[in-house]
Amino acid sequence: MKNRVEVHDLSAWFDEQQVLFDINVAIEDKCVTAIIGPSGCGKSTFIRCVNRLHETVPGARMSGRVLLDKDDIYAQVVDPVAIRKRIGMVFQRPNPFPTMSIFDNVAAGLKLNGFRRSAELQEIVQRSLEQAALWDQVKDRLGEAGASLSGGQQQRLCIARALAVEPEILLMDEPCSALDPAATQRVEDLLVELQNNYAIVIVTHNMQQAARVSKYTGFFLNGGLIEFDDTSRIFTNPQDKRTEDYITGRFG
Amino acid sequence: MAADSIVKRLKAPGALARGRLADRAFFIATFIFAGLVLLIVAAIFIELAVMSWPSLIKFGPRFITSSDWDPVAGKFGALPLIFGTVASSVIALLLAVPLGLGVAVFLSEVSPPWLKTPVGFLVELLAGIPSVIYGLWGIFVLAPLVMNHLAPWLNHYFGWLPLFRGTSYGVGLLTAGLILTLMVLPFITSVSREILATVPRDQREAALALGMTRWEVIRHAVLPYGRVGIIGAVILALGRALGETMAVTMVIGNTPRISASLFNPAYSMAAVIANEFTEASSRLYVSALIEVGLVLFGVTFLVNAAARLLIWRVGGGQKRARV
Ligand SMILES: Nc1ncnc2c1ncn2[C@@H]1O[C@H](COP(=O)(O)OP(=O)(O)OP(=O)(O)O)[C@@H](O)[C@H]1O
Ligand SMILES: [Mg+2]
Repeated sequence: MKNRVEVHDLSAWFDEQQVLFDINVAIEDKCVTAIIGPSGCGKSTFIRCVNRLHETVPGARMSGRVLLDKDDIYAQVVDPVAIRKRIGMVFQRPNPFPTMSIFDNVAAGLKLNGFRRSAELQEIVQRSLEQAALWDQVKDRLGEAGASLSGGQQQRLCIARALAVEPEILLMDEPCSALDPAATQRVEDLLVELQNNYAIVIVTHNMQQAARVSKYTGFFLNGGLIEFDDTSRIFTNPQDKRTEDYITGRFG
Repeated sequence: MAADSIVKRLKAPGALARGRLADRAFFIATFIFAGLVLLIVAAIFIELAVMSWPSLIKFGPRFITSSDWDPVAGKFGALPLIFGTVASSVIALLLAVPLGLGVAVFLSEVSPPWLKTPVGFLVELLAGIPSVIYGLWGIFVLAPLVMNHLAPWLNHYFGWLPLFRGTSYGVGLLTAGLILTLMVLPFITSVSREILATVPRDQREAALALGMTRWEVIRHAVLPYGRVGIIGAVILALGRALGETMAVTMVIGNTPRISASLFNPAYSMAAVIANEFTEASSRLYVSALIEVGLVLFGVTFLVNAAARLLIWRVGGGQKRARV
């Protein structure tokens, strides 16, 4: 299978504190890659290096190379804005635009790209909300503020917002941590469906979720990628003792 | 063990009662303070009304509809004064809002870090300059500039607008508006800047992750998030502009006349009071001046109420995130 993203010797810093150490990994097309690891080990930082969001934090920097379809996204000539249009992201904490309506939240990225034809826009908004398992709950109040939704609904709104612009690659940072089991199920179903068209990276604290939806799993610990392998192998026969400790819950 | 006993002590009936008492005292104290403010406002209003009584009953509503302000002839129509106050403030806001907001956006979003402190400091310094200095500067620097350069230029290119007809003699509505622009700029800038600084990072990141450029992030995420606070900053500035006395008096021309051209001299309510109070000879004259104060009070009140309404309308549609 084809690799969409390749990461070579990626290290990252916040000011002087190094939080990622020489990460080497490849993200395959048309499947889900799960990232697991204890809190603070650098999972978010890792995926934020992949869409060039890390560098927008004051004092943050990185080294190494990230290739998107063999092209270095950190090359001088590359515009990070163009990269972020191709690589969508759902954040750990829901962050809808509070002053925009539900509809406008989903349409935010599209309008930017010059979408004005409202019939088409409506179609995309509806489809995105359906994919995010939110349409039924909001279809009668699309004009209301995005912030009027519950936390879990806001997270699904953010998923819809990211899907609406049809990125090629989708990075999801614990997208289900605020969701109830039913909504989690719908999002997992969505991942299974989306992987036919996208390369997806999902950070999760939920082992079962990683086991259920992903083809590959990477285990991060203290800023290093300890092990990266087929999900089935990681969960049945991990090569590294620390991975085993973590997935069996013997770990802090 | 120790924690246990602290909990016990906190839960003891006496402690609870004491807590409730403190709560009650706090409530009453703040209530009194708030009431005091209301009382003062009411007292000012009543005092103004009482003192302007002779003029109030003599002129009635004509006081604010007539444009004849001629103290020697005993004619007191405040319309030109209302016009001067409102027009100069509107000019100031039209210029200062985009400019001040632009400076705020520059300082909080665009500027390199080493430039932020000095520029921010300079802007805040503007707020600390006494208004008589602005007035002096207006007379000696700005007025000649307007007369010799700005007014001819405006007249040449935009003379087809009634606003820019005629010639300027330096002092006038335009000069007053420009001075006020400078004076309210720091309010708009420093308040907006603080508002922009409170926009959470995750809002910017949400916008960035959608592939927005820096400008688009500001336009679609940062400014909308801060809009209520920014409107507040504008109201603050407007209040300042409406009531500014000294600097305006020195450059507006002190002529009670309504004219379409911004080059012409005008008069403002605050300026009239400051200029004519000492020479007000008759009881009627004095009470007319006080009634001007009453009108100014009313205009400020109305403007603020309208602005509150605007904020309420804008803010009402957006329930804050309840994550
Ligand atoms: N903005 C920041 N400034 C400074 N240090 C940061 C910042 N964000 C994260 N860090 C540090 O970087 C390290 C990695 O953080 P990161 O957010 O990537 O962890 P994570 O694996 O996503 O954790 P979690 O599972 O809790 O989300 C942590 O030690 C954290 O303290
Ligand atoms: Mg994280």
